[in-house]
Amino acid sequence: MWNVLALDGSNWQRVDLFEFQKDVEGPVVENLSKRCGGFLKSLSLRGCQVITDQALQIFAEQCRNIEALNLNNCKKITDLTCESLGRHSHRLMKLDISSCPELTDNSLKAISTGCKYLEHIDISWCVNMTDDGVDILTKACPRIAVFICRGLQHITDYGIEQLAIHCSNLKKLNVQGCQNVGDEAIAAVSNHCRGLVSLCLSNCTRVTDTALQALGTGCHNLRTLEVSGCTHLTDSGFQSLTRNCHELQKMDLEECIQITDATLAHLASHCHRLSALTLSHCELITDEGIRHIGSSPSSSETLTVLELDNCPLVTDVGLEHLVNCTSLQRIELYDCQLITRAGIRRLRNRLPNLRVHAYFAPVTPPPSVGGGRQRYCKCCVIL
Amino acid sequence: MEDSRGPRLFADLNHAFRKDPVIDEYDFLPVTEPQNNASPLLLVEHKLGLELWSVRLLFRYAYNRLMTWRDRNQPSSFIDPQELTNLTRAVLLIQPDCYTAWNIRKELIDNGDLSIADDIRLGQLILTKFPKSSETFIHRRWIFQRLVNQCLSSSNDSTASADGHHDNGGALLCMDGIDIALGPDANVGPNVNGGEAGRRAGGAKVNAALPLESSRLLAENLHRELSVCERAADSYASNYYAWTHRAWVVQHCFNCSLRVLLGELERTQTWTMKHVSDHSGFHYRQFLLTSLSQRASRLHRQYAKSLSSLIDAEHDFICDLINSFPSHEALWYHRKFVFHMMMSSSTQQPLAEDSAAVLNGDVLHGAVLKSDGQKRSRLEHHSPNVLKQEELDSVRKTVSQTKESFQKTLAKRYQECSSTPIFKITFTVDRRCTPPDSHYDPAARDIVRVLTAGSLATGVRVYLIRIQLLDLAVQSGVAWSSCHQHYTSLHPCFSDPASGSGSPVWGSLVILSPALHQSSSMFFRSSC
Repeated sequence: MWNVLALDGSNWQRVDLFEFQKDVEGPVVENLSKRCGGFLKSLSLRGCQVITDQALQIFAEQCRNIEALNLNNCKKITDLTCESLGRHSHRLMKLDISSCPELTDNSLKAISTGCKYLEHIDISWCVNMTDDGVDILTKACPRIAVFICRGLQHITDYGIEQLAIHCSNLKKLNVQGCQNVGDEAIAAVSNHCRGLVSLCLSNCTRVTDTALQALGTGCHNLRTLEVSGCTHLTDSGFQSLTRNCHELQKMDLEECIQITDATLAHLASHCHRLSALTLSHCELITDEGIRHIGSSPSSSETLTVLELDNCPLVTDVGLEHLVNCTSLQRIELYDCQLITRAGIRRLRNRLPNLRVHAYFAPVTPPPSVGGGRQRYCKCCVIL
Repeated sequence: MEDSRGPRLFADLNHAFRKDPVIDEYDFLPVTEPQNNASPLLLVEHKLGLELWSVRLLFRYAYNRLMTWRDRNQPSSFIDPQELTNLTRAVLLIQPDCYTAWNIRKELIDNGDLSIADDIRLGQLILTKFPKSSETFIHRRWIFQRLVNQCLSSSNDSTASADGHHDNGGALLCMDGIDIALGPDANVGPNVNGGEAGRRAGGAKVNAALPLESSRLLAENLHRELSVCERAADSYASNYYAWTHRAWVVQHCFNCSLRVLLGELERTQTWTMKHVSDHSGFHYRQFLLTSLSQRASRLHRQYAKSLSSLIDAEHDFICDLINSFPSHEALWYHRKFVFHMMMSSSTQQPLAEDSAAVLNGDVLHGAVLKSDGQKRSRLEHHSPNVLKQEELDSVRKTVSQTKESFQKTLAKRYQECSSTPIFKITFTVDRRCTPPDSHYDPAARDIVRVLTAGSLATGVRVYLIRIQLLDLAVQSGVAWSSCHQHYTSLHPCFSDPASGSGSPVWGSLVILSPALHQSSSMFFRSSC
């Protein structure tokens, strides 16, 4: 009975084959799609590198009600797959085609003709995709709320501008490593997408303070901002950002090498929900900045993760300022060469649940006294 | 807590390699405890130092992750190929004998996730720290074999597409008799362009570009490989792994091209001069000379050099070394080898000359005769007996002149060996003649008796009895040492049941004087 039920494809709504990715081949997907037909709503073929267009074309024909499809790292698929998806899968809401290097703008065109309800799209590392494809896609799919295009060198300000203009619902934008995206794109996003919650600009090296100012004027709901490696950003940019974006929770400022304690002071005084802060490689940060963080009115309740690795000026005194951050769970101190064992020990004594990550051997509780006494073996006791 | 440092150290290591992809040396620094909260990885001028305390943590982290991933019984989590490459690198830098990690790298190469050039570079780096790592050499052999095969297949396929491939594969892989075009630039330049064009065209051309790519890699790395071996031999005494690998490269990748053999002979001269007590280098030279002697006629044809002049030069070289660096046993052993080679080639000489003359009586040959005529080597106009007398005289002179006692001992020992008549008898025993249930081959045993008796009668020392079972993979060491104990009768291993009763076993019995084979004389030094 169970067997029958289990094999009845109509009971399968969500299928994730990630665990079996090495073994999944075309026929598996073909059988699956024939069995499940219109019942299948969510399929993940993440990492199934041997899957080809043929299997996915059959799949698209059979499973027309698919809502979420993950094809991450299916390196063999080409535009043909996306064409059949555009033809049949009109209910598709979530599509992940990242790391499929064969796909081009034609895929985006095909998808834009059929999948009008698309909300979530990930085209990271599809290195052939350009502004044109993004333009066509965003014009046709105004519901897009999540747009992820990491590592695409051909995406420029123009593409992101079109996205911002047509998809004003945008909640999450990730353009990590798109070297040609700069301030203009961010200005357009802040103008049109007021509801933006999460933005990742890591390694977009052209971004400057202008972008931060624009975000400050437009996106007041911003919660997550990742700008690691944006070396042009300075204190003044973060000042205008923090004055308006009070909801910030997660900030990744790794390698923003120009920022100083002033930025931390602004963060501490304006952003009271901050829970994760990454300051790795911000070499100008000193104990004074840590004092701001530690003395912020909300830091004791919200701050859980603080990454200070490779901040050469931070000393044990800085750590003492953190003793009030009672909810702090993890602190990274790798390569802060002025931090000593004693400093870490003092901090741990005050915050016993904190995980301190440093090159020193982790502090272990002293071995329990007693039990080291002479013992008798069992037979001696019997005797 | 303990675990948190592992990932960080691993990230540090990857960062170091990203920062400086051409790290050419690394070592562990004797820092057992972290002094300050600084990264234990130091990168100075392409040299990487790891503080000792971090090595264990890093290895444990990388190894555990790798093995959990590899474990077929556990539901393995997915690891990105790039990450796998980094993990294997971390493991191998610390423990290069972990062949699982090497095998994972082989798979990565097969899948195209790891570039062969990177892998070759890693092996090179590991050999600076662990110059005797056999697994590393084995892996390198696998890489080069793969490259060679790819080139060969391309030259075979190229009948269909008769563009650049043929020259390329053919020139590089020199089927018998064709020398490799040396100097990678001359050969590679056009091919590289071809490869890029192929890649740009994409699609169907990709497959065609693969052999091109591999031949380019081969051309770039083969010559470097020889110097890698030299460096490994430099940094560890008696590094036979390195020399064996070098010999393998010469044999299998250069196909014993004369040009390479001659070049190697010249190149190792300085090395041996720097390491006079290290026999491994001389052993390699012996390999070179033997390979050259097998190609004596072609050597004459192509390079206008006679084998005898080479041996002669080698003899002068070794005598010179013996005089400059007295009391080194390895030198005397090499002299023994060279002298034997002189003797055997002086007996064969006329034959070789004749055959060369018959083969090509052309202008080149005339030139050879002329050039050789002015400075004919000792070998060519001395009979073996004269040669031997000369050799004995010179050794006697050494004995009388030297003041160092060990040098004297060595010279005397050499004198003894060379004064005994060289005595080589080879015969074949056909097992088919004997009943399958017999453990001893009566015929063979009798012959051995006769021989030993005969040598006793004439006062010749029998230094070695070596039984070669031609199609039996009996480890020579086992067979020889047992022969040593029972050399008046044949040991049962000669008719090993494993050889399969009924199937014919061909064996040859060789009695050699140590002048023929110095390494075996170390096993067997007993007179009867």
